[in-house]
Order: sequence, then structure tokens, then C-alpha cells
Amino acid sequence: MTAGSGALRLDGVSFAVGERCLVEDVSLEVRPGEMLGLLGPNGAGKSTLLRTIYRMNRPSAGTVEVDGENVWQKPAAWVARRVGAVLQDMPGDFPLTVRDVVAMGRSAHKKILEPDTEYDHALIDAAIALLDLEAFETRAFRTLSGGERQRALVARALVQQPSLLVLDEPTNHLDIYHQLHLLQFVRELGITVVAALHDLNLAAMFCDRLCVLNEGRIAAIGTPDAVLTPDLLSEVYRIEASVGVHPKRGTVWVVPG
Amino acid sequence: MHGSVPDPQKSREALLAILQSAPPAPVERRLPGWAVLKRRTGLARGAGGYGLVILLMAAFLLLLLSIAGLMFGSVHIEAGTAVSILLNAVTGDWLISPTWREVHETIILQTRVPRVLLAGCVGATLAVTGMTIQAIVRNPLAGPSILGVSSGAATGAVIVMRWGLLGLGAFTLHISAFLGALATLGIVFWVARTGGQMTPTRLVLAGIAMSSVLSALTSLLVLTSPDPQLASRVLFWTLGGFGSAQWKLLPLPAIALLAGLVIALLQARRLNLLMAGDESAVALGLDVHRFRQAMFVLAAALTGITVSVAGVIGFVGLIMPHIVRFMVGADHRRALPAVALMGASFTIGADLVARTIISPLELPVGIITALVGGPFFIWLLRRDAKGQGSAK
Amino acid sequence: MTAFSATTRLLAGAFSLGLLLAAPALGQAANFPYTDENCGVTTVYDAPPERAVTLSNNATELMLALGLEDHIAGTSYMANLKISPEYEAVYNTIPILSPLVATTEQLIEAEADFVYAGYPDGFSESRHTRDQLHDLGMKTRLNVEGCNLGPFGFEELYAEIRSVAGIFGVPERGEALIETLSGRLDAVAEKLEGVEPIPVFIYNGGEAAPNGVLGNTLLSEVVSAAGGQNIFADVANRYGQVSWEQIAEREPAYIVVFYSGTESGQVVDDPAGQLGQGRVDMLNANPVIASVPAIAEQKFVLVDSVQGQPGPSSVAAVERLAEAFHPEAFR
Repeated sequence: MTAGSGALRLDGVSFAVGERCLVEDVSLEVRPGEMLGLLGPNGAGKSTLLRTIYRMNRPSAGTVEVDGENVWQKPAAWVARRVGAVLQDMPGDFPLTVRDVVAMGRSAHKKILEPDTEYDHALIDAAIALLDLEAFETRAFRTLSGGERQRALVARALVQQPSLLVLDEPTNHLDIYHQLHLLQFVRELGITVVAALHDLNLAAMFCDRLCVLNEGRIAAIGTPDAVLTPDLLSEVYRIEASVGVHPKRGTVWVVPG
Repeated sequence: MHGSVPDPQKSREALLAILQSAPPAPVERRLPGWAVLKRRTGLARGAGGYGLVILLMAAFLLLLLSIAGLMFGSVHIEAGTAVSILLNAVTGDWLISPTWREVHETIILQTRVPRVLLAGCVGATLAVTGMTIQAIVRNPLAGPSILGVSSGAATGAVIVMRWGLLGLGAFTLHISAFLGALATLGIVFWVARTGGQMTPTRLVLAGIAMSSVLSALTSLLVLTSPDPQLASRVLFWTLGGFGSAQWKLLPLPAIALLAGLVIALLQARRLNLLMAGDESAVALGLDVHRFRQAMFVLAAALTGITVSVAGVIGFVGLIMPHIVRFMVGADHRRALPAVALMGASFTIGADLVARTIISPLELPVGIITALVGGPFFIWLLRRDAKGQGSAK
Repeated sequence: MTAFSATTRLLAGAFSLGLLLAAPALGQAANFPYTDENCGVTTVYDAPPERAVTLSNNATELMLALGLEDHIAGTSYMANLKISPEYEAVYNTIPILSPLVATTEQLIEAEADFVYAGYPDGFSESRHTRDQLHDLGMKTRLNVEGCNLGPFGFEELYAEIRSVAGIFGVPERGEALIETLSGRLDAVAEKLEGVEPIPVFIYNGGEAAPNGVLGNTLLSEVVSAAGGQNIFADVANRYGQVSWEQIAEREPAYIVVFYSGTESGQVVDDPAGQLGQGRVDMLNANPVIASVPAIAEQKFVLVDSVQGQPGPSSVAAVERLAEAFHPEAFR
């Protein structure tokens, strides 16, 4: 989309709050166009790690590089032009329309007094159309259902024209139809994606590679079938599980028990 | 591929292509056409560039109320005379020659005009500040008084009144009120920041705590004072009023308003981002914590200036942003200019009511704004409780 | 034939007559420029003000007592109280601008050049400050009780009279008034010689907690001069909240009920009834002080702000209170 391939590199990233180390010594590389699933039990540090990527948490050690540049040596707007994030944020109770929300994504590209041009509006229109939000365009964002809001936030991320998309538990409020639909959509965008997911099977279905975090450290990283083994599942998730294969798609399928 | 409104029949590929396109060269950048403007406007029922229409209506309302403010007062002056005096002041004797008593001209030009101007400046500043604060703390139920600086300014004034500290001439009380506001600003800033980032919650809690402490301090000063008149003088500061309006008092609030409005408008986009949530705002490219701190300082300074010239006037900063957002939507680029105009109109109107309703006695302006604003605020809370608005 | 011709005698006579007539004016001219240092504001007067407006009843009475009615353009803040009888006729010939403190607009319309307030609330931020009025071409004065934080007695009142007389270039009238007033005070003191002062409570309203007039007020001195002793004279303050228990403990023999013409800034229709008698009823209804001599024997005196605030009528208050406290000394 914009200049930039969307290559992501974490090198020995740690993040501590006071004495507690939430993320410890995480190193990984995501190739341009690759979809990486970030897995791990509650409290493993998935959200914390994602925050270091979109420049919210400053690592106490190590570097985060997007397109070869250390994000903390660049202004926030530079990062926002390359990294789009779909988060679990609680927005304020303001009468923002869906279009207002989507339009926020253009701010990183605009100078201080620069108004939205026809080009900006074309982008916003396209994103709204792509995410099937035309019917809600002038409705208040806060009146939307969880799934509709999620789509609006994805549209907002898209108008940032990112080369890297970060998703923090995007399937939380969605029914199965929308879960599949969203992940399929994101995959077909063709840009680099890092998504924190809790559903192991969905992750296996759509991600090129998986990275499993446990207590802030990487427990495993690789293709789904290499990563999702019964041993790992019992060690990290502390469950007994059988690992099979999806009958139609051939991807890894985890069955608890 | 750029320029036109996308055809709904366009395929996914085409839409994706649009998103992946490069922006046009600077000379080709055009502002959106009417079709897009129509779709952009928010909850305003359906189409219509409501933003501009409402802005014009607000400006017209302001003009009407200003003229009304000049026509009424404790001394009766004919409406026609009032208008003639104004025209004469602006154009000189060649258009309209003076046929009125000189004292009426003095009343209009030396007391009513500065009063209306001060009320307008203060009202606009309070409304813009209120809208900014609501974005900073991400809560539409906040107002300028939540920062604690209103109480700080009142305390600063009361300290001078109590111990009769003079030395700064005619503006002693105003200056000390502003210093009180600044001191409170510093303390709240420090308290909200210690041990972490200045989050909305910490800011609100620090402001409320300071307000309580300062209110108690003010009460203590009044009750232990040998001066029986102190209580009624303090009442002015806690309820607000424009009685002390004079020309030489105007430059500061006028400049403050202008500067504040310009700065706020420049930051309109960023204020929009704050409404999305701290994390999202960061992801959208805003340095949230530094921006919040800077906006807090701006809002607190502007509040301090308004309180130091007119006392604490409540509810303007709280309810005008709501009314304006209801009409033009939450986008600050549209809402801020509108709220400035509406805030000015409301305050001029409230001042007019305050000084004419039980003439010759003058009510403090703060009572009128509270009488109008209080019930409105309750209505707001109830509407929120019933459900988050409704579909169009 | 006489040493002087008729013409010379005529000229001499005319000259003497002229001197006689001009003397006051000449004497007056000698008083100016007059510098008035008043509550932190210094004002220089080159000539007596011609269009004064008073902002309180004691200011009005003081000016009328000095015979300055020709210099008054308007009065204000009498509410529904009555001015003292000796000034009533003259008072009714002067325009009343407002029952409350005159507003800035009313002052401008009256073309005031001198504004005289009896209490500090006449010059507050919510109405008009002295500086604001000064910018509009009006000189101002505040009765010194308004900025005086220590004890305030009749000497201070005389100083106020002298200052106002000086501003209007009539110092001899000021001295004459002071002499009359101090003469009346001396007469009362003579009658009260050897009489034991009785304890008196000066009540300024308040039901849950009573407001008392304390030691640093002229009213407290008035009570002393009338043969009483303000039970709170030892409190070095002007007004304040006391307690019913303290009053019960100090057992006043008389209660002076003090009231003004307004309540919470509103003009009261019948001050003597609603505020004066109303406060008496409140006192009678209070169980804590029921056994106090003043209540048991129903010894109340109503004093409104016309007599209670520092002004020439304060001496009339002394006379009235003395007769009430010690009727036997006046038979």
C-alpha cells in the first residue's frame, strides 16, 4: 500500500512493568505478506507484545523494526502510516458516526491543517464498501453490534494504507460466520498480518506460521503442524489434546481431550 | 485510480486497488464534492451540509442576542436609540447625529458593550474548553470545573480579599485568581502524573480532589474572617457575573479566546483521535500522553483566565458541547467553531436574563446557567441510561 | 462733618458686606484641593462634588446631617426602612434611584460625580468597584467602618464626619455636628452616672446558630454608651456565629434585635415585622435560652440598620437604648 514492504523484526524484545517482566527476550521475523498467528494462554503476553509493535509500549530491552527502521526512533505518525491496528479498545461515549470512525485512519497521512481531500474520501468509501458498512455509514458507532464495530475498526485500519496489520483478538465478539469471514478477508488482503488469536484451529486454518507465547517467552514458532503438538499443548495450555487434520482443508486440527 | 465516488457495483479487486493506490500529486488534490459532504454529516437526519448551515444560524443567533444584550439593562433606553448609538459609534456623526442624552451613550458604550463582549468571549472560551476537556478525559459528562482550576482561581481571589493584599492595582483580584488557577494547574498536573501516565481517570480524580480541598479552604477563609462582607463577595466568584466588565478588562480574555480557539482548531484532528481510546489513538499515530498533557495545560489555562475575569460559570462548558455535537456530529473540525458561537450566544443570553429578570436586582450568571444546565444534564444522564442513542 | 465722605462709607459698607457674604466661599476655597485617604484609595478634590449618590442609609443620613442635600443627585439602598424623622422632609425631595444598591447604569444616568457607600458591598466586583467608577469619572468614598478591622467607636465616627465635611468644603458644619452629637452623648453619660451596666446580647438573626454583633462594631460601643455591656464585646471581631449555650451562660438582661431592610439580597416588604418581630419570635421559641432574664422578662429592643450602622443616628440609638436599659435614670 504505502511505501514499505511490511517486514517486521523483533530482536530480543523485553517489556517489564516495575519488577514484573511481561515479555522476555522475544525475537522473531515476519516476512512481507506473511500472516503470523500469535497464540498463548491468558496472561502469556500476547497483547503486551502487540503493543510494542504498534509503538504503544516501549521495550525495556531489544528493538522492534518495521520495514527495517526502529519504531521508537521514528515519530508515531510514521509508524501509523505503516502499521494498522485493530484493537479491543473502549471508545468514549461520543456520537461518532461509522464514517467518522473510519476517517480517523487518514490522520496519520495528513498534515496539521490539511483537510480530507477527494482522494481521502475515495479511500474511506472503498474501505466502507469492502467491509459492507454502507448501510451503517451515518449511524452512530456506539449503536452497532460487536461484529459491525469490528468491521468498522478493520475499515479504519485499512484507510491507514498499512503494510502491516496488527489484530488483537479480532474474533472475540464475532459469531462463527463472521470469524471465518474476517480472517479470510484479512488473509486475502495480501499484506503482512500479525494476529493474536485464542482459537487454535482458526489460527491453523488461516496463518502461515504460528508463534506460541508462554509466560512472556516464545514456547514455539513455526508452521501450524510443527507447532501444534500434543506436547506443546499440554505444556503451554495444560490440556490433554489430540491433533488431527481438517477433513477438507488439510490444515492442523486440535481436538481437546 | 483516484477521484470519483466508488460505484457500489465495483468488485472487490477494484476496491482493493483503490486502497492500494498512491495519492495524487499535490496540485491535483481536490476537496470533496457535495455528494461526499452529504454522506459525511453525522446523525443529522439524512442529507444536507448541516455543518455550514448550523454555523451560519449560530452566528446569526449570536448577533441577535448581542443586540438584545445592548438594549436592556437597569436603565431603560429605547431600542431605536440603542441602535442609533451603536451606529454612531461605528460610523461617526455624518450618518446619524446625536439626539440622545450623553449618559445613555456612556451606558451603552462603557458598560453594556464591554459586558456583552466579555460574556461572549467567556462563553465561547468555556464551550471550546469544555469540548476539549471532554475529549481529553474521553467522557462527555466532564466540564471545565473537573480540572480543579475553577476552585483554584476562586481561592486565589478569596485569599486576596481576606487579607487585603493589594499592590497590583485595579487587576489585583483578577491576577491573584489567575495565579491561583495556575498553581492548581501545576498541582493537578503533578498529582495526575506521579507514578505513571496521565490517564483520563487520574486526571479527573486529581481535579476532583483538588476542587474539594480548595472549596473547603475557601469556606474556612470566609468563616474565620472578621469581615462580614467577605461571604457575599466570595459568592460572586463562586456564582459568576459580568458586572465588572470594562474595556480595559477585555484584552486578556479576548486574546485568550482567540489563541485558545486557534490552537484547539489546529488540534481538531488529534482531538478526534482521542475519542477512539488511548491505544487506538497511539495506533493511529498520536503521541497520546504528551498530547493529553499539552491539551490539559491549554484547557486549564483558559479556564483560569475565564474564572479570573468572570468568576465560576458552570454548565456552559458541559452542555454546549453536547448540544452542538447533537446538531453537527462529533467531528471536532465542525464542532469546535460551532460550539464557540453557541457558547457565546448562550452566555450572552444567560447574562441578559440574569440582569433583567428581577431588575434592578441582578442574579449571578452562574445561577441562570445552572438552572438551564442542571435539568438538561439530568435529562442527558437519563437518556444515556435508557440506551445508547437510537438508530436513525 | 465726619472724617469719611458718604461715598467712602458706602464703599466701606459694601466692601464689608461683600466680605461677609464671600467669607464662606473664601473659607471654602481655602479648603481645596482636599486630599481624602480612604480605605486604601487616595482621592484629590478640587471642588466639592455637586452630584453625589449615596449607596446606603447611613451615608444618606450623614450627608443630610451636614446639610448637603443640594449636592445629592440621588439616594439608594433604603429598601423599605424609614429614614430618621429629622431628615424625612428633605429626604423626600431627593430622587431615590433604587431600593437596593444603585447599579452602574443608574449611577451613569444620574450623572454622579461622587459615590458614597456605607458598607463594602456597595463596591464589590459583582456591582461596581471603586476603580470602575473612577474610570467613569466618579469619585468614591467608603465609610471607614467598611475597612476598619479593629474596634470602632464614636471617635472613629467623628473622623468619618470630618472627612466627608472636608470633601464638601464645610468643615465647620462637621465640627458643629460633632459637637451636637458628643453633647447628646455626654448628657446620656451624665444621667447614667453610677449606674451599673447590664449584660446585653446583640442578635443579628440565625436560628440553628445565632449571629451575634461582636466587639469591633460601633453598635457594641452604642450599647456601652447606653449603659449596657455587650456580652460578646470581648470577641475582637465584627460579626460572627456564636452559640445558644454561650448566650444562656452569659445571661443577658436585654436583647438588642438588629435587622436590615433586606434578606438574602431581596427587599423585605415589612422589615420591622418580618425581620424584627420575626427574630423576636425565633428567640422566644428557643428552649436553650428560655431561662435567660431577657427572655423571661421579654426585654427586647428592635434596632434597624438606619440606627444600627455608623452614622449620626447612632447617637439617637444610644438615647433610645439608654432609656430602655435604665428607665429609672430618665424619670
